Amino acid sequence: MTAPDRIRAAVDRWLRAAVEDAERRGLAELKPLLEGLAEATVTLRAAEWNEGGWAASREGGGREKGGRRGGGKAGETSDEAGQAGGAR
Amino acid sequence: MNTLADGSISALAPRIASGEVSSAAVTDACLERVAAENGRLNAFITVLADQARADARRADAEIAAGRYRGPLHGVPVSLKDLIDLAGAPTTAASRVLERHVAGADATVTARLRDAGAVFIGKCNLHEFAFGTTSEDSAFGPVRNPADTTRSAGGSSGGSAAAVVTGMGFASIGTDTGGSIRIPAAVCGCVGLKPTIGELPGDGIIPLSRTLDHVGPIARSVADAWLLYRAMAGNRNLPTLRSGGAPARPLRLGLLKPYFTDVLDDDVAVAFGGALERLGAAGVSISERAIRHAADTPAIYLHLQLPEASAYHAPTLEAYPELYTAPVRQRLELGRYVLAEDYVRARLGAEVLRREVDAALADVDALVLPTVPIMAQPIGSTSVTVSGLTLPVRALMLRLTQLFNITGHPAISLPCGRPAGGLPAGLQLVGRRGGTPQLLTLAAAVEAVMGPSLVSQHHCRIDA
Repeated sequence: MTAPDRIRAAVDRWLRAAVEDAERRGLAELKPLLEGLAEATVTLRAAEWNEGGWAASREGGGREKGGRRGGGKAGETSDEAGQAGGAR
Repeated sequence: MNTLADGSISALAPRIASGEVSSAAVTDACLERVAAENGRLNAFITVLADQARADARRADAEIAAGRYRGPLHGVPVSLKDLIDLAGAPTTAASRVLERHVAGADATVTARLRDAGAVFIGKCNLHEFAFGTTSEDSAFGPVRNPADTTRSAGGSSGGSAAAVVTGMGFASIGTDTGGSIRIPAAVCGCVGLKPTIGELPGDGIIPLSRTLDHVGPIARSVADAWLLYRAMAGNRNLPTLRSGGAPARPLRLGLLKPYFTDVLDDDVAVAFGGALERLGAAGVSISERAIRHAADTPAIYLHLQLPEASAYHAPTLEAYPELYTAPVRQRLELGRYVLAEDYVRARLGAEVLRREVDAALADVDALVLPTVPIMAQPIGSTSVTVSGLTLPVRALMLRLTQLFNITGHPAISLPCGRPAGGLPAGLQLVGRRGGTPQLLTLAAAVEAVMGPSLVSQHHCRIDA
């Protein structure tokens, strides 16, 4: 999986958790807004100035594999936090 | 019609100072205009007629006694209704604050009071300043003076509508993503967002604390300067130099491509015409780019949404039904932004700030349109521009929100009324900490725009 794919996958997991949480709270109308926010989040995380973004991880393969700053790790962290958000 | 409500503060002040006209007469004229226009425009939530008349009589007495305070003394102005005025309701256009009365003045209110301003009322806005159209208000939508079927822009829509129709000579607004400049542009007046942190925000209900600015909406750059100087509380700021030729040719950086690639045809015509006039007047215009400008909306969202949600969390939990549905939904949306993305957005803000600094390095100011579309019909949620169908909210913010993120001062000036007579705005952006220099430059640009535009700032325009 490429770094952009990992970012997209992580944001998709966050989005699913967020939509489920919103529906549980009786706020199903948030779904289109959450989908729009998810697109903005992908843009934010993929930005080339973002040290956890895909461009950074592409430039530093070692970081991507073993470091805490790679795109994959950013995705994992996001997913964990997304679950926490879903449980709020 | 009583024409005492028209004109600029700069022209009025010497007449009040000399006793040629009284503050009481001017205040009455503005209140008459409120009585005539507010039903049509819904610009005011609270009109303080008795209090304003009493304050005006007090101003006249002080001036007669030789205690003239300066050019705002006895001048009727209004406040966006999220700025505290002691003893008056602050509603933020929301049922959430239905019974709230301010116990004290906001600092900017107190400074204007010290300068002798007369407060005639509190203006309608987008609920809690969380929107760009002033439609979602517990008191109903603000309507555009040029066409009452259209939005006055927002969130300080009531302030701009009041200023252009003589319901007070100026108004104080707030700007988190463009909320002073956007309504100024689509209503046809001047709106100034100073450098971030320059004017105090205490006593003002926040939207997003790292993006919020307070500033004036006025009929001319010189008037905006007078209000800015009073609110800054810095008596050492000089008088605005205007009217004369600049010491050297002005240098403007024209922002491209992000800032001009999605433009309504009428805005493009008005903005292009303004650039031609500036070029003909000897202003040097060269192109500048902000490398990561396209990341601006994503950065803005991840800052603004959670900051707004944090402030509103207690009332969102306790009284969710008291918010208008669109504002409640956006506040709820902010609760889903992850902390790690907020931190990324903070990093992005630094990147953009450095890029705007760099673009300003060898020019006096940056120039771009204020809003890429004209005032939209009330109720519209999307619009097709340059072949793209986009949300109205995103387009309204597109060209202004960058400078809330970076904190650079920015001002919107009228730059024409193309087809249909709706106004368009031109935006100038200066160096951080350089609001006085930006205002001086804006006065020169305003002079080039021509008196025909200035005279339209405050005329009645019935659709």
